[in-house]
Amino acid sequence: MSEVTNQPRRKSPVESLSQESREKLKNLNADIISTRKIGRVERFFGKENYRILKGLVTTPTSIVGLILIAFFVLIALAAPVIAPPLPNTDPYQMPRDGYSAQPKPPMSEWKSDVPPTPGWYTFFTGKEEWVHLMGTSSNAYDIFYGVIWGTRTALKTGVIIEFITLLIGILVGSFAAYYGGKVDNIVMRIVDIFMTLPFLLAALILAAVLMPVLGRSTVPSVIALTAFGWMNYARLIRGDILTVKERDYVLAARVIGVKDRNILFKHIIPNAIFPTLVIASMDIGTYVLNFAALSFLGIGTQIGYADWGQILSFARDWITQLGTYWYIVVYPGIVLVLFVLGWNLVGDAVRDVMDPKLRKLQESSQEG
Amino acid sequence: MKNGEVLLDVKELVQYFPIRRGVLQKVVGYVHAVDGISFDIKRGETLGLVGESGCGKTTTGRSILQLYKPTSGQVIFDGMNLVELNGKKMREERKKIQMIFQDPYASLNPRMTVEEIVGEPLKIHKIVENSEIRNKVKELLELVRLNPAYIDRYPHEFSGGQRQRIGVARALALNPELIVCDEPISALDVSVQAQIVNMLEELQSEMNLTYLFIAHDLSVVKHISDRVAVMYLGVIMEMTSRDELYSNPLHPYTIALLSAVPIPDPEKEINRKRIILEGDVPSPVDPPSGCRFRTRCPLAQEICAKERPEFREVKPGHFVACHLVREITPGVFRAEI
Repeated sequence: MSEVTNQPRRKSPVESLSQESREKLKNLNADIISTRKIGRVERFFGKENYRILKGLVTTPTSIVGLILIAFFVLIALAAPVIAPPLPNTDPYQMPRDGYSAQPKPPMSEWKSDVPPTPGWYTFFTGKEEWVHLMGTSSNAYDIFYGVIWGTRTALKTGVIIEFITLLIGILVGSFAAYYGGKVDNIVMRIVDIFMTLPFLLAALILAAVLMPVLGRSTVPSVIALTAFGWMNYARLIRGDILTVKERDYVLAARVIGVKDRNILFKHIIPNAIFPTLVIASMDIGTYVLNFAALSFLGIGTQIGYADWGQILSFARDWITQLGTYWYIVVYPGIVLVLFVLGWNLVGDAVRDVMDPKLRKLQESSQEG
Repeated sequence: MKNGEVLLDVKELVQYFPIRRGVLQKVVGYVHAVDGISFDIKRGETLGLVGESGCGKTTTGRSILQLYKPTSGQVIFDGMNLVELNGKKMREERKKIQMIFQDPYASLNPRMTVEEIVGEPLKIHKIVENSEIRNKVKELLELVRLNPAYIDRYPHEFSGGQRQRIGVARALALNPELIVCDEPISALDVSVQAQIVNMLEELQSEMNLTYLFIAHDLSVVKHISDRVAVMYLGVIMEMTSRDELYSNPLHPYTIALLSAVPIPDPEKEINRKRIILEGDVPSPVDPPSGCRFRTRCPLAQEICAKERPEFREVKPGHFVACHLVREITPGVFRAEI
């Protein structure tokens, strides 16, 4: 027995292989294991959708995007802590420090109607007096409040616009694809007509018409952007439904005797909706940008509402002196750019992951 | 409900698909997918339907199930003409006719678990109580020799053969009388093919099933069928019992097809005569006049272009659609080529 233990350890068969073939074997094993073990998440989403989601959380650009988005969501959630409003006022209304037309630079002292100093500011600086962190715009609106609470406005309007556009798009697209033939033809031509209209211009006109009727708020812009934003989703879901409709499992459902409506909702739409959902959720950035553009042009919220586009529009009055009053443009500009960048980075990653041409490249690089 | 009586009677079934062109979607022509075929299937038997790809086998199966609305003709199942049934009655009738699909990777909804897939027909037709569905699905899985522990898995976690078993379990869930098997094994590995075919045979005798077995593999059809129908370009060319067809084929097309089946005996394989058909299958959009096969038939004569041959019973139980069958005997025909 002792002889055996004293013997030099025998090489295992794997160790005697060349480096290259050992790599191959490792990959082979990995393959076998990965086909056997399928996580709960993957089971829930299905193989293809799981691949897309996995691509989202593993692509570096998309990770940066997701971090940016998470950052803005945190700011929006913590807005009352970061920038506590004056008691008994509308927090979405930017607080004013007097009525002076002259903008004040960042870190200047807050004189009248001072909101409560946030705890974090005292904690970091040891000072009790609240200042204009990012300065004020014309008419003494505090830019810091506008930026922080504007994040809420941006996320809220972005999500609402996206949700409604998506709903309209999916309804119209499924309707066209499901009935097919002439209905499809007519509906999709209407979609085409909508698509020929220049998006922002059409939205601008509609919002301008709606504003006197509905009053100044976020509503006219939301309606206008929704009215001209749904067509892409209708097209996308229609195409996907048309493909799924021809799959054998849809035929199988008919053979079993499933009713047409249930086939649509249970077998077709769940298998067709995912790409549209992902693409759509990434468009929030674009909608926020367009919403800000409308605000900048003076359409939408009432003056002083915390909204990035509107703070930017305040800078218009000082366009010749922006060297001095840079802070009116720079702070809201930066957040807007970062916000849209975050969504776009994720959106680009999604498009790459979903592109079948790039898929093979990606898979081979993962293996190698 | 005795074996041997006619369960399905297809009469002059025609299935055309319009070809639409242009902005206004004008109909510019028709694909003559199935062009007037008649056959019957008796309870408990297996009718094999063979033919090249694109000859209308699959369309025939789907038209019988009313997945396409037939252009004309009758599909009489158990005394009822399925073509005339409305949506609701047809759904009822679907309990009795089920289908097994060709591609097991495409025929299962990827977002449903095995329980949902196999349980769906049970739920829709209220075969068992909702609380009993899970047990019933497990039973069905055992019936198709699948481990019932897989009940919560999704289709992509299975191999092709296993998926096909799930497809079979779904078809069996409603306890049907007729199953249309649409090339159920052509997408599978050869080793798995045998397992599935044997399983289908066992199930047939256990559950007294009737099969319409669509395939392009003549050896498989020979193995499983009682009778065989040979299709070419939307028309049945010859139909008879299996043994008669393989030993005494009459139609030139059948003879050519059979001569292409490899024989697992090298000596015979070298010495036998192969009939090589010239050219391709003509387009079903504009099929040849008269006999569909005449453009490739080595024996074609004038009459073949003029008249469409009748589908005649030349011997008891042996139907052939060929003008020349009266004149040719198999031996002579072979000698000529």
